[in-house]
Amino acid sequence: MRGLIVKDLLYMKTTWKNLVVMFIGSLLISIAIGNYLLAISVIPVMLLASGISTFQTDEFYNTESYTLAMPLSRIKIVTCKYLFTLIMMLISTIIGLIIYELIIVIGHVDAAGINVDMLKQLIMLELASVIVNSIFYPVIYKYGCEKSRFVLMSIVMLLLGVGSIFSVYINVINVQKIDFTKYINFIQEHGLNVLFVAVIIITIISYGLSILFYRHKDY
Amino acid sequence: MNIEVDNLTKNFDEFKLDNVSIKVPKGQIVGLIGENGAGKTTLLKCILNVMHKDAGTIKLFDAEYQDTFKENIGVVFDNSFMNETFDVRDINLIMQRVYHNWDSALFFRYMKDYKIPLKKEIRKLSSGMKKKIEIATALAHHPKLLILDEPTSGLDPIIRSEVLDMFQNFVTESDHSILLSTHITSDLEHIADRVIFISDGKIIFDEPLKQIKEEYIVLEMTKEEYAKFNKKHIIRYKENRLDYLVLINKKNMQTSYDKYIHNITTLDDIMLLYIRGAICED
Repeated sequence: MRGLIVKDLLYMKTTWKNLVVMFIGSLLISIAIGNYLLAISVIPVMLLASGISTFQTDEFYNTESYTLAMPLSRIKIVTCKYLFTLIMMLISTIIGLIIYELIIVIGHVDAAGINVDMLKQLIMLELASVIVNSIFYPVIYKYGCEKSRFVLMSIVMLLLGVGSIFSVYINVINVQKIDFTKYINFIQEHGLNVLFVAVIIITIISYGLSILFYRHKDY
Repeated sequence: MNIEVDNLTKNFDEFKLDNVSIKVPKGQIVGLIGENGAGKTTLLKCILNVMHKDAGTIKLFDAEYQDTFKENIGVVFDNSFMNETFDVRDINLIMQRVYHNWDSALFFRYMKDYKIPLKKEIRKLSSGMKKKIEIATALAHHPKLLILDEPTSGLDPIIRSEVLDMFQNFVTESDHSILLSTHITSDLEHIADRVIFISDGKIIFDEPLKQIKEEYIVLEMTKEEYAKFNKKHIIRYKENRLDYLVLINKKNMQTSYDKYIHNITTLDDIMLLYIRGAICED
């Protein structure tokens, strides 16, 4: 299993220069607008997005058949992708913290501009990225990278459509009776915990679906 | 047997691998020939469980298929390897974590012998060099069985000859064997013990190479000669502008065929007549 994780990690060497350029750009924007969250979050979020990129390169270089010819079960191959995402999340958190410290210590930045809330927002962004990955992975295993984009776009559009109709329906009933501030306060207070639980549940479902789809896939 | 496939069936929308049975004994090189889309790659992929079979049984090393058996199988696919932004050092890093028996020293020895630059991305190498890396990767974990799809395509004649020698050396170990599919049938004429001809998802013949060479012959005859020829001996024939090409099995012939023009019959000749030729209706 370690071999496939190393394979995906090695892929990162082709993207690090782009990540550095992106970081410099985002840091400059952060300084200009006085919001350091952008500088802190861009690299971690991009690192997490690399999970999906590894699927794209696998598809581009047609490595799927070769991977399946290795002495690994299909379950192990899927597990490697999820472990890779977990590793990238740990790496991205460490990088986020390093950037955070660098901005404060080296950059002589006003500490008021950077605080614990910002780090919480960074972790929330990372968790949100993990959710996006978890949604993408099973769809990619089912349809491949190219088709999965359109499949997901169709699903999102369908959900938006259904949601729009549903919201109209709620408005017809009596939307004034719903206390949205209660929900907003709850999210502000417990958002990170909720997101954390959501990530675990969605990831487990995603992992199960990925195995189910990949088990039946031919390459 | 290193491979035993029995009544393998795989259905696609417009193609079917139909009740295919093959055996690859220990110590032998078995060649798989056939036109594009005949089902060669599908067969190899089913054996490796890259594709799922719809029916039939596949045994590897005299036992029901298990993923761990692949530890003893070296694979070269026609169009599937690693991410081409990697260099050979990356391949080594990955493979030593994939195969228990990975032999880095052997792998880098192949790289040296093949003059492969260690630090150059695979995508920047020639197609021949890429193929050499694939072959070295297939051999560097000391497999007992090689499953090779077009392993010599893109190689120049000298390297091809070296690679074929390497394959022959590989099967000198009594429990080793090779199943390889190729378009370059002349390669098989040098190294194969047995040849399986597959067309449109069906096995047309599966015979020892020696027997094929001894029994099949392509005769060239004029239209007049063809008209007089006993049609029951004809396996396939092809009508050209001026003459006929006729594929026969010598052992079925009671009369002499010496009066007809016949050159050394190659696997290509036989394959061509089976695919392009017609069956005699008379």
